[in-house]
Amino acid sequence: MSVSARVLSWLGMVTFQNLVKILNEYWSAQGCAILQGYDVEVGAGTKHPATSLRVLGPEAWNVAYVQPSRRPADGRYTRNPQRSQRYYQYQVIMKPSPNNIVDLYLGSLDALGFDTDSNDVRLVEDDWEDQAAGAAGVGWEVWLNGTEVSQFTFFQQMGGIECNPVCAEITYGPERLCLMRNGQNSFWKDLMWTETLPYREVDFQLEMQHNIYNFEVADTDFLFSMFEMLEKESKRVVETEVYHDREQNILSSDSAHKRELSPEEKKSISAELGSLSLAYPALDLALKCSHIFNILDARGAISVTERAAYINRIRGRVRACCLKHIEQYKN
Amino acid sequence: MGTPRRLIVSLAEVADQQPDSIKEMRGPGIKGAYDASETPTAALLGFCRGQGVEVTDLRKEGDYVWVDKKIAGRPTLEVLSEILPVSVRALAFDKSMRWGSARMRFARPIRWILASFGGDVVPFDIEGVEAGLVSMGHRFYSRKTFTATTLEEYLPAALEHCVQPDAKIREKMIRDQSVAICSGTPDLTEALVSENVFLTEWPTAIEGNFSTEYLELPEAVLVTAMAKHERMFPVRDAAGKLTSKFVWIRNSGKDDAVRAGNEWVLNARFNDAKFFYDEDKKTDFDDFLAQTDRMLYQEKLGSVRARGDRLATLCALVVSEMGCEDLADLARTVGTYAKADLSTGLVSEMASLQGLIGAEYSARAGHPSAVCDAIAAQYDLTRLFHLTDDARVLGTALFIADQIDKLAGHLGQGIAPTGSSDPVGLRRAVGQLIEVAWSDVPYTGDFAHLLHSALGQYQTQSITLDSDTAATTLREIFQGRYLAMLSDVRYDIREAALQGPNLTQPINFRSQLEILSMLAADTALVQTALRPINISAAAEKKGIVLVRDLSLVTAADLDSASGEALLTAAKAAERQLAQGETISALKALQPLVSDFFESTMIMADDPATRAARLGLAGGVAALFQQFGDLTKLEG
Repeated sequence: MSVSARVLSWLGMVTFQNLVKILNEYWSAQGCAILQGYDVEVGAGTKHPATSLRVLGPEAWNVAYVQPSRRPADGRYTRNPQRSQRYYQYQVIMKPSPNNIVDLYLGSLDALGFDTDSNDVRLVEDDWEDQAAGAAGVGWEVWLNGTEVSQFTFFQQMGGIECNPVCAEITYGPERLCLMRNGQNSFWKDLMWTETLPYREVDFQLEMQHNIYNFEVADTDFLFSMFEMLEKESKRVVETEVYHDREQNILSSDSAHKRELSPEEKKSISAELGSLSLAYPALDLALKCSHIFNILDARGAISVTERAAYINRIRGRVRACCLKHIEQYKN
Repeated sequence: MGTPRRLIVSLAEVADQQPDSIKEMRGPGIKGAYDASETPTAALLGFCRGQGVEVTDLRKEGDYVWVDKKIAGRPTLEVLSEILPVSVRALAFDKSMRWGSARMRFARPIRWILASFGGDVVPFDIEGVEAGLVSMGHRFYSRKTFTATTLEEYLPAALEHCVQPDAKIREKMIRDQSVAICSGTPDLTEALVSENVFLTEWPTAIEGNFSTEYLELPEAVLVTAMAKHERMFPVRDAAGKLTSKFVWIRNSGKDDAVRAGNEWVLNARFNDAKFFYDEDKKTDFDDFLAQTDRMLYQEKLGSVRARGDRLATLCALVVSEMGCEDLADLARTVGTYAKADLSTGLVSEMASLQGLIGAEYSARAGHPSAVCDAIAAQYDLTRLFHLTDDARVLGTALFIADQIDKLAGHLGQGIAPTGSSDPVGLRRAVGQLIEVAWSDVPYTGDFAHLLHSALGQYQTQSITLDSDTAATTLREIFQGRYLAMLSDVRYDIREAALQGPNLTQPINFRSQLEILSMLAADTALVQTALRPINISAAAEKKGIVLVRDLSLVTAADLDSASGEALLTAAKAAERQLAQGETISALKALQPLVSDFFESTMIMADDPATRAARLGLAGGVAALFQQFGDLTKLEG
């Protein structure tokens, strides 16, 4: 242990990296696979296909991951100590939701050093909805001494499709948890990524420059046309027929492989190769639409009435992907 | 009784067993039951076997044989084990959910069930959760289970495990403790207390401090952050001024850790607000107003700044309708500045502060307090109804102008509520207009006229809207709102009123409703009134043009003594009605109407006589119909 590490741990402090490590270890011990964040810009961990597509199937699915999340409208040019346009979410999905999920969650607070005997922890009713994803859930905000530290949601639908079984989604804000845990205030002044590396060193330049891009520089005409193109491409891709190449046992869009599949055949192909569709690439394109919309919205380039129409368009794309994805579970 | 984690139901004096009962069972017809020699047929013997009775148990009645079958009552425990799971599943919530692999819906997942009758478990399960005699203690203070077989056992056991199941007692704990530990006076508002009652199973009040540098923030910012976002009670000093203290109700943890955490989060929130407040201070309120020129109100309806101009004119119009022409200039100021705060940093950050920040910044800009109070109340009827004098008149004017401008702009584009969808809140807007009109400082004008003026305002800004559609849809929304608001009024009276005039003039609509209720109670009077109403409707159906105007009826043309008497009385009644004497005036007509219709043939051969008699019938019908469509009344 380095000198600074020893000083921090002597002070009872935790670094950002350590906090994530503790959560990884904790949820791993509860049977979750630790995945990585998705490599497309998203507004929240919910948009990662490990949530947005995988909460829909009947299979058990227990995962956790850190998702870098972008919300252009939340940018404050780093002048707000606890709000930025890009930050991290720690996301846990357990499907079906275990009966003791609340106790499991409370255990994670204890693991993080928030002694649940000394602190006030409460579940405050909060129903969640993401219109652009056709997603809705029922659940709670978790408050620790009055601070919202997590969102706890039982997913009821995704892409407008009912979830069966229902998963529990837990989303932590790791930066804020870290600050609270250490009694500190600012992402940019206090937060330490490691014992020696400040969070500021890692993300400050990115944050500052993206604020300027989002609020001042982004070319809205360019973004509007990107939106149109991506939307169109997502539609084309999700509607592309996918066939089974029997010889190589892979999927292909080459219509040379087109043939009638018996239900049994279809079932066995789905079991081995998954959905006969391009739901994943079409979803990436839809997610990009969603991010571009968020920049335009932050710029105030979209009026209140247009806003609803854009959200509907994004929902339409996400829903089409979800519908393709669940086809593999039919029969 | 209930807490955030449990619902408790107890039924007293339940018998152990259902009583035995007798059920009459019909057998075969007598003709088919016995043959000629009175011997039971195969059909009858089959019936007896089926019911498990002897032929001797039967009796004949009418054309059939019957048996009185004794049904033994079942033990309550057995019945409960069937009823309870059904009743739990049947509980309805505003919002419900599914969980895990369960298919049922409930407010939140069901984790345990304690079900007991007479000391025994009522055996059943719901989605894999078996009923037992075990309950859970407080989630943190007492992480243990306990057992109970009766409510008398349950209540003390729950208390021992730090659960106060009685919401009333928790409320008292919250109120008493808050006052006891508080160094000033906590703002124990009803809604916030009751929210805390259902956030806690074992409430403990603590007091905390925030940094005094934030006290310069507008009161609305402080109160919103504490009460709305943090569910804390703000604390005031003897003079009613906010102090840098708050009261928080904890449900677990230890005082010091919880207090430190609350202080941390509240300071962080205030720090956030102060950033925007300091930024806002650098800008004049007039500059914020000018900036709303770049904010779109709605795609086709121009900027927020343009809206300010329309509201200014409408506010001035409403105050003069309310008999306060002297306030017209202030009303214009109110309308102009009403939406200026939408361009401030604080409102863009905390949207729920709109209006309140406008009031704050208006005051700083030197506007009179009545103007500021009116701006503060524009989104909040309760606040509006607490205003008095000039502020109340100005507030009412702004509230009405705001809603009617919104209605005109959207309805005029054909944007109307459909089914459960009303994204702009137009139904709510109309409902609130009615509430304002009916309040203790009433608005007596006609909203249809005001809508017309609002449409005219759009016109002057070269925004073209469809006035006819707007007017028609407005009437429909009014009808819908009355139906929803007057659900306790007899439906035929409601229907009659909805067909009458005054729909968009709520004050008159309400008195019309009262008169209809009185009329409906007097069946004979309604029956009498229906005679001229029906005959004039029938005549109009035949294409006869009726001038429902008594002054055009010449007494001589009636050629009927009873007709002349009725004409004189009806003209008198018309005057009385205009002076607000309703029932007595109508009642006085009743015998004369009867006399006229009994003694006189309306459809006389002579055209002049016929026209005069129909004219009289029509005029009298109009007197009655001005309160609504009496043909809708029942009985």
